Amino acid sequence: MTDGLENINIVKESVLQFTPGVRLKDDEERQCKLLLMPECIVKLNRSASEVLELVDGQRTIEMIYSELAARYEDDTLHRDLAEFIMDALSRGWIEVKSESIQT
Amino acid sequence: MTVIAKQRPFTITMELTHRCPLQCLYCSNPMELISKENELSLDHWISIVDQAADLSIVQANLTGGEPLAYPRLTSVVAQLKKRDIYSNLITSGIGLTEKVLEELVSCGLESIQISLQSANASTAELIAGWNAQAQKMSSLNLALRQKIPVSLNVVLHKYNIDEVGEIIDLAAELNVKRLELANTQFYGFALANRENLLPSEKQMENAVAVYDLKKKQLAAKIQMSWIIGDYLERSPKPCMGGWANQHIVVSADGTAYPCLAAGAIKTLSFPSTKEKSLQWIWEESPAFNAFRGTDWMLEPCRSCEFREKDFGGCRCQAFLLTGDAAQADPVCKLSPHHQLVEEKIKKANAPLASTKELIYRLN
Repeated sequence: MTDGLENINIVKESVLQFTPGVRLKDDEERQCKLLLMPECIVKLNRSASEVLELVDGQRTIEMIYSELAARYEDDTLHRDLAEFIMDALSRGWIEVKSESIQT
Repeated sequence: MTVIAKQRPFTITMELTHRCPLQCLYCSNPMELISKENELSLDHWISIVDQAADLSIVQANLTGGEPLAYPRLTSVVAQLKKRDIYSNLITSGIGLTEKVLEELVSCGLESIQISLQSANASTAELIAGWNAQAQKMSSLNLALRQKIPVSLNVVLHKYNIDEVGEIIDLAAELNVKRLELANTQFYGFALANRENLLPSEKQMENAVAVYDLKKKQLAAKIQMSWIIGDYLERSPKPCMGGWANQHIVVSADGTAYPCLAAGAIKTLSFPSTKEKSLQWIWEESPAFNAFRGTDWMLEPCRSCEFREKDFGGCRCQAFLLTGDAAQADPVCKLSPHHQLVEEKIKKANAPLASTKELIYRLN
């Protein structure tokens, strides 16, 4: 799933944003959040929604982690979040804001 | 028989017009096209957008024919924006100017998909019936400069599947972020050219290998998708996520279908949005209920362990190849009609070229 992502420089200071053309929508009828993008709709589960709601082109990965860690005591949060972010990057849902890459 | 729709639809495809400047061999529109006089008014499309939003539809594909040929396109886009429905324009690129694109974007268009027939002008001309490559390339470049996500779509078949690597390289060079490689399906007009368009198994195998390699190499640069063709898979796909389960199509004359190709099923009578509401069509119409659930199935689908996974495959293909839309999709190797598909594959694998004449779409 993450093949080819070696070229993306991700650090905890990286700021995440939605890829252009991808957005979240609150779906009242279905009582969930949807991710809308060209010719594709993803029905999000609760944990995916909670992460993606924090993706705003301002917050860094570290900030997203701290906000989630404050809500839940979960030993696997760190690993789960890293996995989800890599997956969302490889699916083209989100991207690293370019000026935010710090090396 | 009353079957309750499991859920509300997510997407709508609006075929604004069947008019198109191209004459593609693989056209997915039906055999009989709707004439300009029978196209819907703007008011009717606005009402369809409103009904779609009320039915919890969240995404719209604006297509045709060539949707840019529909004169009130921007007003339709504006209404989708107003009702918070994600809008995607599916275009050949012919007729796209800077002014038109700016207007569409300012009205709220959220993404645009432009098609190419080939990486080479001469092959593109063979497929589309005239030399439109320069115009298409210019539209593509124009769109890539605008602040709107652009997908490049290339329909694959015998004439261009060997150049998959070239197509991907071209997309990378142009800095396209999304590339959709869609193998031709033989439902609409394309069925007339099946013998010429179906690639050999060797061609498909080579193309998939090139695709897999390039997809890995370019993963950080391009989002690529490969849409499989039914014939060479030998197992049916869960067509449309099940009949009338997620998607609704409104054609240029207002007729509603569960998918783009369903009009080919002559044994069903499809409802018109001029006479019935979208909600009634979705929930109550006999045509939309015809193949919901599993009660309609015949053997071998009825007792098949995959019946809830692939829903027996494509109803349109079943009808087109067997004359009965309730049969198993003949691409399935378990179908009693599977031989019909194997014969075509055998022909496509033969070293001799088809002697059938190419049939161009006349608009």
